[in-house]
Amino acid sequence: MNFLSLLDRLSTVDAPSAAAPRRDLLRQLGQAGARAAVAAVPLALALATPALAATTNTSLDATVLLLKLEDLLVALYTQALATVLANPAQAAVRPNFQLILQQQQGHAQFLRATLATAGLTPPTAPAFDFSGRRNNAANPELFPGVMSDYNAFLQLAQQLEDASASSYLGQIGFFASDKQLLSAVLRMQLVEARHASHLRTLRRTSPSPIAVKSWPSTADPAPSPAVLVPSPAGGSNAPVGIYSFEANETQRLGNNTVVPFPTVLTGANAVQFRSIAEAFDEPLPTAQATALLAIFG
Amino acid sequence: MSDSSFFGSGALERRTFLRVVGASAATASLVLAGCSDPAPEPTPTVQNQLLLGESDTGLLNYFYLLKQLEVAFYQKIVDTPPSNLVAGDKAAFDDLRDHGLAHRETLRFALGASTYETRLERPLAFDFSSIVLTSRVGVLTAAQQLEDLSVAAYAGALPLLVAPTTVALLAKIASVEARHAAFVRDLRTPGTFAGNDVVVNAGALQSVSLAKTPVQVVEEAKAFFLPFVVVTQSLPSA
Repeated sequence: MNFLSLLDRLSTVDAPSAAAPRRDLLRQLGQAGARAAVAAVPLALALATPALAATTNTSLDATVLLLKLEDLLVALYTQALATVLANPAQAAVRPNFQLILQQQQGHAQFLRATLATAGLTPPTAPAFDFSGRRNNAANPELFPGVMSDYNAFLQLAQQLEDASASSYLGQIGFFASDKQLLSAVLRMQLVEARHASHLRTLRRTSPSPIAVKSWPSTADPAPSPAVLVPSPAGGSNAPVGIYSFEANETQRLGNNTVVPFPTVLTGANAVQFRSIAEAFDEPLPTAQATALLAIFG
Repeated sequence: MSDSSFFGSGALERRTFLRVVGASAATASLVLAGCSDPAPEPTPTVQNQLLLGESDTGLLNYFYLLKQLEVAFYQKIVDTPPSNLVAGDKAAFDDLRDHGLAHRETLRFALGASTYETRLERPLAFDFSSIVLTSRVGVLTAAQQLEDLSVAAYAGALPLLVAPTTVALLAKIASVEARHAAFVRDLRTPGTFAGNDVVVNAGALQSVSLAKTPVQVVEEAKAFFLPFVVVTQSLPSA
């Protein structure tokens, strides 16, 4: 649970269920004026509120998460264009990254405006550190050479763009009651997926080519170092790479029925065995997306 | 029979009316003849019209139809590749076809007995006479058109779905479609993965995917469906 979900929880206590989706977000946001009052709610009360754990995020929480994600990507390409991508050897691909940066800035601008228009003060971007040292030189360098070695940069950028497309997928459920915002988020997600595809194409076609496909595949060489996130199994389970989610081969319909791929993809419809996992991009759950962002800022 | 009772008749709903207004003069005269009798439902077998249905089912049929088109296209390339296709291209088209099959069969399974095909005597055979299938540049050009169109179709129609679980499932497919589109564009012209012909500003929205309505998508793809005409009026538009 975080502040915004508590806010929403309190605001919905005596509010009618959302008949007008657009108003729902505005109502939530309007409550932000009561920030001081809500912040004064004793912690004990918050803890005593039942069933608040992790499942009560709102479209606001989701917007804040996606804004931090976009801020991270803006910082990644801003820093890289000033360092590793300023190398004349990368002159040919530099315009690609300028375009991606410009599009990420557009997304961040929209998300910030969405929050501001409705009364929240949008969070400012943290000082992102892509070495993994958390801006402390005494900490170990998790991702060496990212801003000096093109291949190290591409490897991290691929993971972050894939995680971006997946983080968007993990948040769209929180926008179900606001079709306008849902539409915007879906359309930004599709641009993130294009970026992710391009980063993978760049790795495959770089002077030191890595045989990744343009979509996550179990055939891809695993990145090393990998960006690790908490295991969905929780507890003391070892952290997992983001591609562990992409290996999923089970798709479900709304009524929880499993799509019977072994039955329907046979005969003339037979596919390569890796294709079922490749054919679907998977959501990165909120807890994992949040933890991933916290690695860098 | 007055106009008001014509439109108020439960037996001839608005969607049915829209379905028949595009029909031939002969069919139109049948409908007019029907005005003298409030009871009969016009027969739904208007020649060469593909009716997709309404609401989420209609939208699923729309995505299913587009996916059938895409798979049929890739199957043709896999079966009879252009002679100047290189080895890497062939492996990629195998992947694109296989992903398409997984998507198509997911949509078919989700529709169950509600596929538009149950109203057809035989499965649709797509008409590819409008594109060049015999050269690398021809198939890459067509692949880019189909993939970009597919992405724009998802961008335009996913928000029209009512069931959030269906949105979530199809968004996972749409994301891979966007990867395909960027991949094919980069294969054709490196660096064009997210050009300003497919990533646009729209009002307050910055750098979002181009989105097209079902009407726009079907209009662009209509040559592939000939001699059939896809009727989109029954689909949700908001």
